[in-house]
Amino acid sequence: MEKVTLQAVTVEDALEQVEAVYGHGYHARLLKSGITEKRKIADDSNVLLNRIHIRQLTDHSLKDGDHLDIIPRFAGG
Amino acid sequence: MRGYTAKIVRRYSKQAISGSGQKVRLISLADSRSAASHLGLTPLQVEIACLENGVVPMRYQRNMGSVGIEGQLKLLHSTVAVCGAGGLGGTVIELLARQGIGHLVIIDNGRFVENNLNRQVMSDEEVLRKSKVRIAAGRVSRINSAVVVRALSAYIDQSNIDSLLKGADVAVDALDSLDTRLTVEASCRRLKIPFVHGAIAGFSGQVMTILPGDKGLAAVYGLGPGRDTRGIETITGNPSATPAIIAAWEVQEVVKLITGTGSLLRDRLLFLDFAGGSLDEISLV
Repeated sequence: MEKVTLQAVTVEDALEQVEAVYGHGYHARLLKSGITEKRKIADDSNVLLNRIHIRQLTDHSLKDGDHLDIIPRFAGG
Repeated sequence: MRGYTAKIVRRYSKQAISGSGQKVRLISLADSRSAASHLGLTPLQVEIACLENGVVPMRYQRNMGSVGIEGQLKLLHSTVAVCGAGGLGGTVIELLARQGIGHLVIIDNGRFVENNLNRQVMSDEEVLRKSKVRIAAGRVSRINSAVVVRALSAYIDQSNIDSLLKGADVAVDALDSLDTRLTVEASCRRLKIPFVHGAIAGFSGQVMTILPGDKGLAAVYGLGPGRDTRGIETITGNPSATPAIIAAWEVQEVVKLITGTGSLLRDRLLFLDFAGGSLDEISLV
């Protein structure tokens, strides 16, 4: 898992930056799997801000030192 | 009666020297079953009686160094519910039977289809279109006939989950839908049962053990509107080895829970990326 440090104002801003930097590799992997649909990293991920899922937060603004975990969403068994 | 049982199981056993050079009394599978017949007990009851009298069934000899006689007794006395008998569930069931869990509850309403063959160890060409739980129960009886199996062909929902899990000491997540996982997790909280979570997609998987009161799946997946019931496995599929690895890790958690050994994966999601060869831990507290 890669770790990066970003300057961002909101979670969405941070995710856009991650998408810009890492999206290419992500889409290349999807294409290799035969997937041609354009999907964002965030569409297929669980995003945790300081260990709380962002769906459980109404305020997505960031401050210095905040920590985002972006985890692919798995439900297979 | 207890004294008589002790005398009989010791008569059927033989003294041997363990790998570490210590004297140990062992009983073979055939002699264990003969003792069961002699005493009018079930195979499980005889295995328990053997261990209570310091006699180790040979089938558990290689478990002794890690769980010991006390741990093996706890495993034989325990009931584990496996929710799902597919990719994760097949391997979970197989390993729990070999480990010597006394009672298995296997829940799945599915039948084997061809696209299961790449990864579901209970499946083969002979069992296509047959009930997963029935095939799994048959497999368990051939691996370890002491294990008592309840094979429940049922679709898990909120109306039946409490009754399906009642009496279980641990529930194992071998499901393929987030909604059903949340249903099982909620029931485990009500029944105060630990829930061992596992999920897979492509060359990745995750494991976590959830005790009642822990943050649990909501912390990982979020709740509320827009919740997705599927993950990236709809894109990546599930290759052969991924479920086996995650299922094996889930079984380790079950064994640790029951025997009280080691450290549980509580409030920390273990994330395994086999493509990149990395393992990460995401703390939830």
